[in-house]
Amino acid sequence: MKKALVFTFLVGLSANSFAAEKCQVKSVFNMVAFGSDYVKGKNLNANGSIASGNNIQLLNSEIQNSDCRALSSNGNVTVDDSRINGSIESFGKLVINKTEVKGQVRSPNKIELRDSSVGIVVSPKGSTLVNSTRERWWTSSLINSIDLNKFRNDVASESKKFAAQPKSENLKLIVYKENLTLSLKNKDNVVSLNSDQLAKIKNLEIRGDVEQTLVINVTGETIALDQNVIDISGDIEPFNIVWNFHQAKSVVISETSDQALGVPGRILAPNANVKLENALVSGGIYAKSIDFNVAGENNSSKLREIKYLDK
Amino acid sequence: MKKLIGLFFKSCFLFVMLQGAAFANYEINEAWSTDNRSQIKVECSSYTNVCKQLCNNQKVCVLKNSTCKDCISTGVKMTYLFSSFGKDLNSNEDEVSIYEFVDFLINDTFIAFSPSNIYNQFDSAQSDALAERFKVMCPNKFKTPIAFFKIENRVLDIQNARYVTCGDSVYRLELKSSLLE
Repeated sequence: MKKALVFTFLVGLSANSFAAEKCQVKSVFNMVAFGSDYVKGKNLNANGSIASGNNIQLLNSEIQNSDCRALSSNGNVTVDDSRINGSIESFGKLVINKTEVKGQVRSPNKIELRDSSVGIVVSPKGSTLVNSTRERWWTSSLINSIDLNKFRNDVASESKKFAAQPKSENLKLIVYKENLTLSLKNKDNVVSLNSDQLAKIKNLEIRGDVEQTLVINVTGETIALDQNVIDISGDIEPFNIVWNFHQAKSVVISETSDQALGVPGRILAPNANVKLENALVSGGIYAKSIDFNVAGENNSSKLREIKYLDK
Repeated sequence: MKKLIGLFFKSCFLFVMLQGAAFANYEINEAWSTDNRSQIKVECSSYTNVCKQLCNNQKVCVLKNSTCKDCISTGVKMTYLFSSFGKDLNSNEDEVSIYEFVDFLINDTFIAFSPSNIYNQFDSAQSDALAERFKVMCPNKFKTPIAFFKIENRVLDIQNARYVTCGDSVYRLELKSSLLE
């Protein structure tokens, strides 16, 4: 009996160590979305990890981050009618309803499962199961391996740092009607636009190679990216493009979901509520709060974690 | 042994670099239909919307390459045309917006010339030399450029030179001689 217990403990420990090694979150930018106040919405299809310094509330969504954290929150997490391929970690109340979770659900509090199936429940206080199944459960206490408060500060300081960078002198801007091509010349490039200029751009092409980076500093409190077509050309990686909405209080990204990459790059908006409506973002969103598809009943949005293009 | 290992890694590095260099989000080439008509084929990767804007297809657009009624000849105009690529006819090294080029392809009637164009009767025996002169038009050293001219009423006017495509870059094509003005 003792041998069996030791064996189970060792297997559990090695599985945990493996997961921790594989799923290290060293930076907020390892995540596909971070809302320091909250992340909320419906009809979201995301590939990557979503985190919040406070609450997460998702309905009819699909999150793919197998073997790793799909959702991490310092507050409450409520997931309804969704499919989660990855783990859910909540330091508040964790309620899962009509959802399949292929991974662990972890909370220091009692976890509520209704009409759901999960992999492993990890909670010192156990779980309440209503018409639900779980493969295994552990009573181990939860260790907060990622510091979500630090991530909030990291987003703010990155945004401030980028905003202070002078715009590149020899960056080539090719303007044709309502279309803009940014041809990158340096290794690191900075361009500055205001919210009105950005709203008027119908097509934006970013030309650069794999070694180059681009920061697009956008001034203004209200930002709208509505049906803007953004192309990248050459080998520039979406992860090396930063949209810095450093003054923004409100950012709305809409109707970009039928494009190749939607909005490619990392979106920094530390003081803004970011709303996505029928939108695709290939990179990440790091904001004060994020709302997915709250306006239209049938709107749906996609978040793709693309660090390197699949060539 | 160390040298061999070093050589192996260098080769791997070079291979990776060359693979990277070969990637383009869109590429414009001349193609041939089953009845041997010249076409312009624009191929797009899944990371660009250019083909979608051009022909509402995400991957590929095949456009008709027009013909000109006075082009099959060894007359002065065609002789001058094929001898001037890379010389009097050259790019101005300023990249053009891809959206401007897409507008041109959609709205204008054009004829496009590559080194293997059927109208090249003057210089067909020296196709390698012509290919080399075509390459001169590409500041990015692309190997198979295509020169685009706007045509009206199926008549080619060399002064209507518009663009040269060099892989995924487009440059303005200019006539730098006043010989035919």
